[in-house]
Amino acid sequence: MRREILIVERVLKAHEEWAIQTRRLLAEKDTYCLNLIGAPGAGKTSLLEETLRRWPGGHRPAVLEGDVATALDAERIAAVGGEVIQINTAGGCHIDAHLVYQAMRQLDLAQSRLVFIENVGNLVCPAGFDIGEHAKVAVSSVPEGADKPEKYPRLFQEAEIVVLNKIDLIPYTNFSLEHYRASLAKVRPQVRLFPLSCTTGEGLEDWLEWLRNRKD
Amino acid sequence: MHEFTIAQAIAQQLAEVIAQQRLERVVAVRLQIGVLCGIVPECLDVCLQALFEHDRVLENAQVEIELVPVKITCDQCGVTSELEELLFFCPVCGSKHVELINGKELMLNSIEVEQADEA
Repeated sequence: MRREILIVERVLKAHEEWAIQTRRLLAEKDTYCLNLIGAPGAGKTSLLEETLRRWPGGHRPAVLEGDVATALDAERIAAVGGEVIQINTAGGCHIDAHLVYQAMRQLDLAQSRLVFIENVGNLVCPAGFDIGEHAKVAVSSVPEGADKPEKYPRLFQEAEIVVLNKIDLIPYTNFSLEHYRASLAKVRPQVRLFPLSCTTGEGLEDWLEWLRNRKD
Repeated sequence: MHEFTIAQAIAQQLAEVIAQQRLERVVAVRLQIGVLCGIVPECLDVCLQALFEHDRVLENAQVEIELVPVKITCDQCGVTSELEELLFFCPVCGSKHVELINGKELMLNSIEVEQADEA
């Protein structure tokens, strides 16, 4: 005879429990955590470099760098004086919540009070995983084109804010900021957008001010 | 999306239930997956079957996936609508102030089992 057994559990429950542990750890240290997600080459690491360079004073934010391989991004962050830990996924397409928890425990959080997780370059997979952050930041860039928000709706819906990097390249492309805003409005009408350039510095001050307000 | 990671998580949850309840044979695994998860059902099925193949309890389990469409409720007119396209505004009044109700689920809902002494 057959019978049905009800389970009714979230498939990612085990992963989510690690994320909860991470947020508990962050709360103990009164620390705010952002998860930066974007395509390879969007400028996530550059954004963090410029953020750390321009940080007004006191202890700089800490960074967890996630990549498939190498410590290249961690080296860039360390070069601007940031405390950084590299997580390599060895082929995985997103950072795992368990790895984040283990790495987070090694950071001196009481000093920094703000930590960035730079996720693996990928517009799809990281969007669906809670890895212990307080908010996701979608990092897009002009060369990717103006239609990416509606083509990758999950990320742009999950993100608290959206950064559009490389606006200095707009005159050399057919990118339309108006089209980009329209594409974003289709999937996330009210989201705050930060158009900026890590190369020229335009728009970075607004981003830094948002960060300072968030942290406090 | 990376269906194999999801399949491994499901297999792990099933292993716990099977051990706790000392199940002998699972004939169906029922999942509920929201469209916004970006999971391809056929791909997930293939991954699960690969994991079940060498498991005495799960080797004959059929995977049943209920796809949950995106539903939103409009803050302006109060109507709940199912979206056919992933354009997040109210199809009734056009308002952009909408709340997502369904579409992100990733649930292991139930299993159907057969026990030797109940056959």
